[in-house]
Amino acid sequence: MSARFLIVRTLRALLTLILVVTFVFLMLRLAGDPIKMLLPEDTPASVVEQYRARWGMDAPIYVQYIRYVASVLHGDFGMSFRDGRPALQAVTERIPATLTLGFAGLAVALLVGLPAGIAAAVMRNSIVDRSVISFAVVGHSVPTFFFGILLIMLFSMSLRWLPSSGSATWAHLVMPALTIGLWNAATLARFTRASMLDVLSQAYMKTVLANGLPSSWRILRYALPNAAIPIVTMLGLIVGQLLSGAVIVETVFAWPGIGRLTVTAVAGREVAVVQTIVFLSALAMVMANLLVDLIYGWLDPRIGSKTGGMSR
Amino acid sequence: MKEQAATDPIGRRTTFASTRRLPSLVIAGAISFLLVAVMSGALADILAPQGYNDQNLLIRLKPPSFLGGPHGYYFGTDELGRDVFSRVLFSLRFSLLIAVTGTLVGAGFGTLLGFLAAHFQGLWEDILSALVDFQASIPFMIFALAALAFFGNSIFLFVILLGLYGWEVYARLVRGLVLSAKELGYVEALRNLGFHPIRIYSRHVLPNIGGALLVQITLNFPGIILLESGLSFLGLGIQPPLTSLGLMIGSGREFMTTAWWTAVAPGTVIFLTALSVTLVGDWFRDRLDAMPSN
Repeated sequence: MSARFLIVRTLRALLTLILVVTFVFLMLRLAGDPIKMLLPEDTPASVVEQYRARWGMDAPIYVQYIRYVASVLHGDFGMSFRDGRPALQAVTERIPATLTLGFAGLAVALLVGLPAGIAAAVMRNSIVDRSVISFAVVGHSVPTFFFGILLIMLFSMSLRWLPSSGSATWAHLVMPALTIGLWNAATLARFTRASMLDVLSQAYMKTVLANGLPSSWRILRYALPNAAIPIVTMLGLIVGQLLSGAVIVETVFAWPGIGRLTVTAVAGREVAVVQTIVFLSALAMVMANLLVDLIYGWLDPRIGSKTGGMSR
Repeated sequence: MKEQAATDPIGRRTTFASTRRLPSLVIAGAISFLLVAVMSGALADILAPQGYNDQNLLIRLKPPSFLGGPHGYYFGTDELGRDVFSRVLFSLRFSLLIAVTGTLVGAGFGTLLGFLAAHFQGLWEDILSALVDFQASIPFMIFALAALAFFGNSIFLFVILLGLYGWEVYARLVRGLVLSAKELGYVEALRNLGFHPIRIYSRHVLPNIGGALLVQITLNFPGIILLESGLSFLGLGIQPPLTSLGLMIGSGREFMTTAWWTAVAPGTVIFLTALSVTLVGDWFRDRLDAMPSN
């Protein structure tokens, strides 16, 4: 992996973050006068002007933009109206809950999706393969919120095994993690299967086969490392899906994370909280994709020599 | 909620190594379900025993008629005594209409950008590339919710948001297809005959790549249905008094203990719709084999 590759990737990540900040600034300016959104309708014009001056809204747009970027860099995203605290604080205190759910979901996705995909590819066209394909297709068509509700009906209401909402004990984690994990497992299984099939059809695998090595060794030692390259890319996308999925799953199971906060903040039009969530999730995504790029470059040294991108 | 599995980071399609042959019975079932769903939505006015907002507070949360509920209420009633069956039919109409409109917006926008990038290359490709990077940097659900928070909820914005979901897939696909079409003799011949590029693209290239576009649309459509129902489920999509399948599940969720049918009926319909479109889309791709492989 060349240093140039590292630098180019990092610069791209930074550029993307700048784009996100600019985009949110433009969206907020397009959405209407923030002062009017904050103050009651019958506020006297003089008071409105006072606020405008105090918040720097009377400055030219590029000055406002620079100030906006500066405040974002200082971690100042504005106040949450609901509880009068800085929006950043309101969001960061929800991070642990979302991370717990995210990692549990990711674990479920990996533990189910990877073995299922590998088994399907190795036993191609068998009953196992067909079952995995069916699971992947069906799993991807069930809305997560509907699946969550079905789980609650089964495990909370009929069997009374698990609590339906909240986050007090580990038992509370089971159903949300299964909901978000199995949905992603479906995608991952399908992708792993395709990736493994590609590798298994390569000439060097025929050589391994001809050498008569035991099949499990063959797969783990020779096929999996090569199949891993596209799968790692997939994981970068799954981080985004986990964040998107958290919005719905946390709402269904009343899990006190960022996803649920997003829904209440959007319903209450708490712009400061919403923009904080947008920045933090963009940051998480960009970091995840950067990490994936680096792992990718490490797994396959050939990639480090080109910079990627669509026009190339 | 995105089927991104099919492309690698620089936008080439990775092949799902084996094109699987689905049993024809399953496909026949999926196609019939879709036909029934579309017809039910289109003819909801005639088929539905009641209007989607007709209330009858005397029969609130009654079970479906086949489980001993009131006669003529096939899927039972909801918390306002509205007929769940009728509401499912009308919801199907609104959900499908919005999903189709959103899909067309996304396919149109993506196709246009794909053509621009392939024709002008250079700067346009860089713009496209930056937009794709940008879209990939915010989870789509968060992006959609932020837009709804900033601009407030409206059907217009909602449809645009659904359209923005997946536009980049069309843009990449079209760019690739047009670039390879430009290498082919017929485009060169038309150009030498002095035809305007717009005419060449719209009359000659577009029909040639139409099959691949159609396949991509069927592959994207389930995602759009799930996104629409997801946002409506959260109460941030379609607003009452209109109805949608997601909205029905959202309100039915509160009555899970006493009236499970209020959520299960619309949920099953969403699931079967998304599943049928996926199956038909895959089958379609296998049949046409129109997708370019690497």
